[in-house]
Amino acid sequence: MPNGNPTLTVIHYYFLLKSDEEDLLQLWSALTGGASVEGSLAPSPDTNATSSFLASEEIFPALDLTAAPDEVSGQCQLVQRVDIGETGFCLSMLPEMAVVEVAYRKQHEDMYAAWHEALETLERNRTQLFTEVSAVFGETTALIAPDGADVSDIAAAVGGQSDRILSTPLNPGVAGGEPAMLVHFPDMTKNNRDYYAVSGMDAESFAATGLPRLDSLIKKLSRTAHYFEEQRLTIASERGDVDREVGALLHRKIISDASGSAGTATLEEQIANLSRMFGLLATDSLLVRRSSDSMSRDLKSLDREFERIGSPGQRDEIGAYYSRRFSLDLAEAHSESRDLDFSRQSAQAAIEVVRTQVEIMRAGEEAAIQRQSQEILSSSLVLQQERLALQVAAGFVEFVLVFYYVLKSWEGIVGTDLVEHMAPLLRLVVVGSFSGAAAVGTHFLALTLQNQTWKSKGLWLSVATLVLSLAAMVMLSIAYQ
Amino acid sequence: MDVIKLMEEAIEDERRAQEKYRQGTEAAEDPETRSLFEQLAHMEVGHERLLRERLAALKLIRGQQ
Repeated sequence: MPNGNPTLTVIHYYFLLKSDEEDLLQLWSALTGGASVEGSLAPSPDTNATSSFLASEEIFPALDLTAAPDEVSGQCQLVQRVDIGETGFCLSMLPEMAVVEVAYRKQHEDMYAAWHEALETLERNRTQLFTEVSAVFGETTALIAPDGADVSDIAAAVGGQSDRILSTPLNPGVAGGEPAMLVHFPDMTKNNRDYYAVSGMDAESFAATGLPRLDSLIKKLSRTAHYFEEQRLTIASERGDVDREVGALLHRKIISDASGSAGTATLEEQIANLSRMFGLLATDSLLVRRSSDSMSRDLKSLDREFERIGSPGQRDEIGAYYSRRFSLDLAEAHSESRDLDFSRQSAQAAIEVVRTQVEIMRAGEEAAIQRQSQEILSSSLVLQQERLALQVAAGFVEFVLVFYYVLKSWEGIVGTDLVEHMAPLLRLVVVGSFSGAAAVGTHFLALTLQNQTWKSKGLWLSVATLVLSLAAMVMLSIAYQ
Repeated sequence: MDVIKLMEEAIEDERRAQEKYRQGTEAAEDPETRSLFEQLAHMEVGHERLLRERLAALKLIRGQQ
């Protein structure tokens, strides 16, 4: 079997988010023993390292971490490669993730022993690495098996316990034109670390390019589904609280015992509380919708990817397993989204009910105020009428008194005989004018003093009448003497 | 404040706490105190991992909006 050239035995993939650029560069530097990612890729004399860019700088700028993958082929975009002894390191880009591949090569006769040795080396490196880098999104180990390798041998080499072993015959088009098989051990560990084995004449080409793309989608879906599941506990608890509160509100009697402004204030407080709950549900709803949208898109991509790599007409166990698993997660997300919509509608209805209660209470308060206003207005009208009657009576009494005393005063000054010789109608006009002007003038004087203005025509007309009447009395007294 | 920024700061806080407890472990004079600091540092590592997982999920979900 060995022909003198080392054969690829194990590939280990580190997945990081592209946005964690610093951690990615740190990981790359730690793995490659300080081979700078800024392009300083000169071989290190003591490690016998060689490195090369596989893509030309014109097409793919050196270490451009934003490099987009080839969407048509769905494979990784290789950015940089470094070989140190029998171990190769590749830095590749996927749509949202960067993948660092560590390929262990070994000249061997016993594949089992080669896997064992490579896996031991890998574990030693991992332990050392994880003291420096902790932003690794997920890891995958792929064992490269010869054509026709026994799956149970591979499982034994991995050394873990898996409930099931799934296999998917690969489309020769993605495995160097040769028949190949992808074997997967799902849920072997809970640390977001997966194991695969690729068997076939040319398993290496698929393991190096097609598998990271496929596995990154699975990892992403697993992470989103896990995150959603964690959030769902909180969301379900919040939704339960809102449903209970809304139920209690909707079954409470329409008009509460509290009345008046106290009752309105209580209801307005309930509206504020319901609005807060509505906002909470809206936020939860947004999170669930984002999660379900993300899962839906990725699940479609995953299904397309399995369709692309799977051998036509043969059973695809891995694709079927993940499609079923993530479809269930997606269904849960949709179900939660529907429940949230229902709770939001209930909260909205409760807000409307309480708002109606407030309006009813306010309408009642307004009607009572209107009734009171009308009563006050009626009382005021009666008082006004009575005051007017009193004013008229007082004015008449004042006129009579002034008339009497003016006449008597006039007789007293010029003599009774003189006054009695005057024509009665003339006396009546003169004394009546004086008395009337005095009575009316008093009223206008009061108004003038009240309004603080002397521009009252009535006052000045009264004063003029008084003066003219007095002058008439003087003139008449002189004329009849 | 953006939740992603907030979580990144929280991760930094967790890392600082780990460093502090590790220093405490080194400075501890008796095994009991050393063990306590080790436990605390381990707890902070767990918190950091939890935050990182959630941050990564958030970034992935938001990255597609």
